Parts: sequence; C-alpha cells; structure tokens
Amino acid sequence: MTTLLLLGALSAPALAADAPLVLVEAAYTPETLDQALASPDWRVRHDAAVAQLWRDQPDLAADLWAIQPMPTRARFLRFWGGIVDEPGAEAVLLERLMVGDEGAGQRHALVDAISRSGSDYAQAFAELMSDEPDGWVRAAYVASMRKQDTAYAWPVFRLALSDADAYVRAEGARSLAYHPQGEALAAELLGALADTDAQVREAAAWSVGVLRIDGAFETVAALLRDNDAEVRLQALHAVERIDADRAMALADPLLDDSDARIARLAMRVSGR
Amino acid sequence: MIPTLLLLLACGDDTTGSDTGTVGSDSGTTAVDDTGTTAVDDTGSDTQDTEDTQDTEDTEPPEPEIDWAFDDVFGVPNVDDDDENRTSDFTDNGGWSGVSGEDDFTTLTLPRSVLNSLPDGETVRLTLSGETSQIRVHTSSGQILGKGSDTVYEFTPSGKLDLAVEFGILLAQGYLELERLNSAGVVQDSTEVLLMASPLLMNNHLQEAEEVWVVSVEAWGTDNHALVQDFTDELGSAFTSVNGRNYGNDVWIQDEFEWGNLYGTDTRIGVVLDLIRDRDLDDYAEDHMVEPGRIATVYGSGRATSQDYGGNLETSPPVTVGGTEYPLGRFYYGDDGRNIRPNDDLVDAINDSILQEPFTQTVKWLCVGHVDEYHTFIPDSSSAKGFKLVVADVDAGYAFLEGLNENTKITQYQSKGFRTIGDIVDDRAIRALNEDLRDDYIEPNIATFKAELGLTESDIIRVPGLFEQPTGCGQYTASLMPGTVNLTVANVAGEAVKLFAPDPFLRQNTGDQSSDPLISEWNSLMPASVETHFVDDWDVYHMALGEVHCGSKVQRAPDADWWDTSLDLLEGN
Repeated sequence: MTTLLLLGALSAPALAADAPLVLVEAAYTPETLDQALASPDWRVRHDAAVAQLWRDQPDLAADLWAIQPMPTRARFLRFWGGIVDEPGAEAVLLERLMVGDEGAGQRHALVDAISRSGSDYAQAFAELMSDEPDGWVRAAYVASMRKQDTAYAWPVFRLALSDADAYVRAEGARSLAYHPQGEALAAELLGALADTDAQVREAAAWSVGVLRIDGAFETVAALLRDNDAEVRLQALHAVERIDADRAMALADPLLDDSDARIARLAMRVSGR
Repeated sequence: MIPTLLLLLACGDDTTGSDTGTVGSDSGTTAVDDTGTTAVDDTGSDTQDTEDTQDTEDTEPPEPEIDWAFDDVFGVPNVDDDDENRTSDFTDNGGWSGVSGEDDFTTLTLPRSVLNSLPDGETVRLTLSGETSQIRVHTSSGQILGKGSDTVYEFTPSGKLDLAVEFGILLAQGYLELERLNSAGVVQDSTEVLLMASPLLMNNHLQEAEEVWVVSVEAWGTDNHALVQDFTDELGSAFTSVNGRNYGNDVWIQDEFEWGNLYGTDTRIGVVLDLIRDRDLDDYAEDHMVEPGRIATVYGSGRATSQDYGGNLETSPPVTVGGTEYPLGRFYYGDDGRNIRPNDDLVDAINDSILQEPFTQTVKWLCVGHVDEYHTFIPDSSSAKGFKLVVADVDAGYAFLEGLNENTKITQYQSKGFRTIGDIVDDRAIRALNEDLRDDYIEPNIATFKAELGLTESDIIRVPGLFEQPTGCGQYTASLMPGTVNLTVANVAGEAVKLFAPDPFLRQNTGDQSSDPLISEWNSLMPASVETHFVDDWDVYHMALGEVHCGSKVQRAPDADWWDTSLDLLEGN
C-alpha cells in the first residue's frame, strides 16, 4: 500500500482537509505507470491506479477519500451513485479499505461498492478477507466472490465455510449457489448441511438444491426432519430440485407441518 | 422527537363538573334569545322557517305538528392547536369563540321554525349522557353542558339556537336528550341525538391527493434533483420539496410518517402519525406539517423495528368482503406472525381502527421488510371496484425477460453483475430464489389479499418483478429491477391520476425511456385512466433498498362519510 504520492502533480489546496498525508513513495513516469498498471501483482497495480487517479483527477480522488456512505432503508451503510461510479473510483475506495481505520459499517460499504465497480478486485479481496476482524464485513467479501475467478473465489468460499462466525459460514454456503461453477465445492456444501447452526444448514440446503447436487440428496433429505422450520423448508425445496420424483415420497410427512409454507410446498411436491 | 409539540389525541383529564346535575340546574331556566350574538343566526334564513306559516282557515286548527327530531352530530376531537399556543384546543377550553381560529366544533341547530312553534310556557331540557368528560356543548353565551359543567340544561326557547358540540378524544360518544317540558314540568316530547367524534381514519390511494412531499438531497456525491423536478413539473403547488440538508439527508419520508384524518360533517383535522422510527426526518412533522387543522401524534415508544415504518403500514381501497362493507378500506401491515412486527402500541392502535379492520401480510422475506415493496393499489375508474391491485410477479418477470433479446445490454445493471438480459435470465440462483419467493411468500400474500379484501384475479395486475439478495441482507431480499410497484399515486383533484414509478432502466441507452421494453410492458398493463411518470430513483433510492413510494408522502382528502357508511362496523365491535 502506498499512502500517497505524486505531490508534483497535485496542488495542496486540491486535497480535502481529511485526505491522507501525501507522501512521495514513488514517482511514476508515464512508462512506469503503464507497466505498474499491467503488473501481475495486484498491490503494484493498485498503487499505480491510485497514483493515476490522484494525478489525473485530484478533486475526484479527494472527494472519494472523504465521501461517506449513506444509510440504506435497511439501516446499514452503502455507497451508491455519483462519484463512486466514476471510472477508477474503486482504487481510492480500496485504498481506504486497506488503510482500515474506518468502522465496520464503512468497511462493509467499501467492500460492497468495490464489488459493484466491475473492477478486478478478486485477488485483493481474497487476501484482505482473512485480515478482516468483523464477521459481517467478511460476509461481504464472500458475497463479492459470487461470479469471480475460481482461483480467488474458492479460497474465499472455503475460508468462509470454516469461519467461526455462523453468519459468514451461511454467506459462504449461500453465495456458492450464485457461482457458475459452484457445484465444484459440493463436498464443502455437504459439510455445511451438518453445521450446528441452523442458518448455515438453511443456506447450504438451498444451495445444494440450486446447484442440483445429486450426491447431496440423502443428506439434505435428512434435514426434512430438522427442528428448524427454515431448514426444513429449504431442504424440501432442495430435494424437489434435485429429484422431484424421489422427493414425492418424502413430502407426505410434511403435509401437516406446523409451518404453513412447508405444508403448502409439501402438497405440491407430493403431487396432491 | 419533540414530545412537547405532540398533541395528545386522548386527553386524560376526566374531571367533570356536576355531571349528575339536576333538572333545571340551580340557576334556573335560561332564556336564550337570538339577538346580538355572532353565533346565532337571526336572519330567518332557516329553510324550515317557511314551515312556520300555518293554515288559519279552519275554525279549530289542528295542533301544529312539531317535528321534534334533530340530526346526529359527528365531529372531530378538538385536539389541534388553532390558536397556536402549543396546547390542544380542548385543553384550552376557550369556548366557541375563545380560541382564535377555532373551527372544530360541530353545530347542532334547533331551528327557529321548531322552537317558535312550541306552545307558550314550554321549556326545553337538554340532558347529556355518555362520555360527558370528553364532550362539551356550547352556546354563543358559553358552555352549557359537559366536561367542567353540568349534564343538564334547561332553557326557554326564543328563536333559533345553535349548539356547538366539542369533543375531547377520538370516538368520544354521548347522547343529548332534548325534552319539551310544559309549564308544569311534564315531558311533552323527547328525542335523542347521538354525539360522536371521529375515529382516526388512514388514507387509501383512491382518495384525492392534496399534498405530496419528497426530500431533496444533494449529498454523498449524488442527488435526486431530476426526480424532484419531475414531481414539481407534474404536481405544481400540490408538491412540497423538503430540504434534505435540514434533516440529515434522510430521504425516507414514507417511513417517518403516516397520514390520516379525523373528520365530521363539516370539520376536519389532518393527522400525521409520527412513527417511532425517529431518524433525521423526525422533527419535520412538528416543523412543517403541524398547523391549525393538522396535528402530529406518536404511537408507541422505544426502539423501532423496520415494521414500525410507514412503508409497512398501508390501507386498501374500499371493499366488500363476504357481505361486509368496508367503505373506508382495510388497514394492513407486514409481520411474520411471530417476532417480526410493529411495536405493540402501534399494533394496539391499529387494532382499535375498527372501521378499517386490519389484517397482515408476511414480510419476513424482505431485507427492509415493508409491504410496499411488492405491491400497491391504483385507481382504475374503468373497473367495477374502482381500483386494481398491482403486484410484482415472478412468472410475469421471467416471461417478459425471456421474450426479449438475451443480448440486450442493460448498462445500469452492470453494478449488479448483469451486463445483458441473458445474464439475469440465465442466473440459476436468481431464478431459484424468485421461484421460492413466489411460492413461499408472494402468492400466499396475494391469496391473503384476495381473502381479506374480496378480490378475484380480475382485480389484479401482475407486472414483471424480480428480487435479489443484496450484499448486507443475508438471505433476505430486495427488488432486483427497480420495483415499479413501489410507486406514488398522485390523484390531484381535476387532474389525471398520475403514478410516479421508478424508472426500471432495462435498456442500453439509459437516457431514452422510449426504448425501455419494461416501460412499454408496464404501460400496456395499466388502465387507460392513469398516466405513469417514470422517475430516476436508482442512485438515491433503489440502491439504498427503497423506491419512489418509500421516498414520498401524500396527504389525502377524506372521501367517505364514515357516519353514514360505517357505523355498523362500530356496532359490530
């Protein structure tokens, strides 16, 4: 991480009052900047991208350094629209995330905003997630991997499924369903079906159904007797998706389930 | 929240004068004439005055028939602050003319034609019963009955008499017995008038819109100026833009308040329920909405859940269900039947809204958890019921998308990970999620609407709608495409019914709404009597898990006389 650079290209008044102290760690020539931006090392690329933005658009960079996320209607914080959508903005946002001196709500918002930027962030996130102390923020890292290269996504999903925080494990199980090759981690999902926490079993059951993992049928069918209604509901959805014919025979005991959603679904699955 | 500014709907002081006062009170009978006061009309303009002329040709004229019957009184609790002295007017007890601007008394007129026809020597005795501590009856000379006074008043009539009835609380109810007494004090005739104060009646989308509010913001690197301008252009003076800088750029005005009305035959008080959300917009009601004729009141206390917010509290249009008419609609809110629900105090208040019998919807599947996220009601003058239920429909969503060119670029959706229509259609997790939502929640909620509101499929317009699981929401969901059903109904008097819906941006050229197939689809589904204005809510609302309805508030005009249409609902409880 550089903390920042290129004073020569940046007049002091252009910096916001709370912008980072600008230190010249490196001076890029046009040639070295291009080389850095093409580096296989994400940290080198990142430093160059930040330097480029400060050089070319110092006002935007300063604004991005200062901008705060807004509360959503669900209360948590999120960045959206305006300057956050500007090309290259994610570099400054990632820099803020790497500095790490903002609260969990802000860090969550930064992860979310960067993941929506369409930029090449997967390698960075795969590294940064393990250092994140807050489970909710780690879960955001996990969700950001839903469509990312398996080289970076798989380590993140595996890490998530073994996380101490059940919310992160659940996000890991759930996000696998969104990955185009999620079934490749079927073994990990099978393990999640036996998690001690119901929210993880629920998410894993849903995912094995979405991914139609044949080998999970018996395991997920066992969850039709789970004490938690959400788990039973997702297990029933899953067995129907994996093998509707075999699921028919399993649905009868759930016709009288105390949860109306399950009873309704059992009616349909059983063919009644 | 500023509690001192809140005018309590329920006045707690029950101290009453001599409620058990005796006939003819100790001051004796009072002659009330009709001269010299502003409150008593001596112009002889009563229509019934024409009946005073009697046929005198008969040698023995029949006893003149005296129509000793009077209209019931339906008014409002006098809980606003017409003189703006920061005290409710019923508490002020200023009498008929003692409160500047007082306009919340309901007049019961004893016409000249009737009083002048009483035989000489007769007096009239008025006896107030019922909730006498929450009712006052005034003449132009001062209070004669009710809280702080007697319950019996006798007078010798002389000309017309106007009685001004004042109520202290919602649904205050009493009876005024009017007796004709001869000179010996024997009752010659008697009649009884019902005195009743309005319940709190929440608005539905069929009522005319009087004023629409949206919070204007320019912050966090973005703004909603275009949306505000669209509202301004279309609604003119009926639109108010709230300066967001003064209220922490809190755009969710739908959630902070809920509008309703108290009204009687010729009185009205607007009521803004100041919900316990208590975020940055909290003071706006007291700062700008409360005025003579408008009050703010709070239900509940403590830490709010999302289900306490206005977007989760809605009222259906008028319906008939299994033979029971609900001319004022039915109130509904979202819960999960267990822990996810509004504050108990709010639920209790809702359940007391017996003219708009409440029911619930399941909202546990939604990240925000509000009923306005998946449906709305819109006026439809061409339909028998006068409205349509518009719902976000998963099957309609996929049928619509699958009918488009899968390579169609959807620029705005790149931040959600979708570059083309095909990216959405082919996302198996999104499809499974939406199928599950359809089966587990949306269709059961529609079934509840049908059962509780007496609707059939022909009353429903199903529009394309899909949901996603945004980062930060865990397993819960929000609209993937801007929720077009999450709209504002602005049916201003004398103008077309205007719907302000979120621009779905399901197109490559974000600046060209005419190229948007979802807008075309929507317009083809809507009744001809409404015009939809698609406004850009993407940055400030949609990406913050809300839409246009969430960011707007509407006060509406009462349109149904509850005393004529709904008293049977009261009696049924």
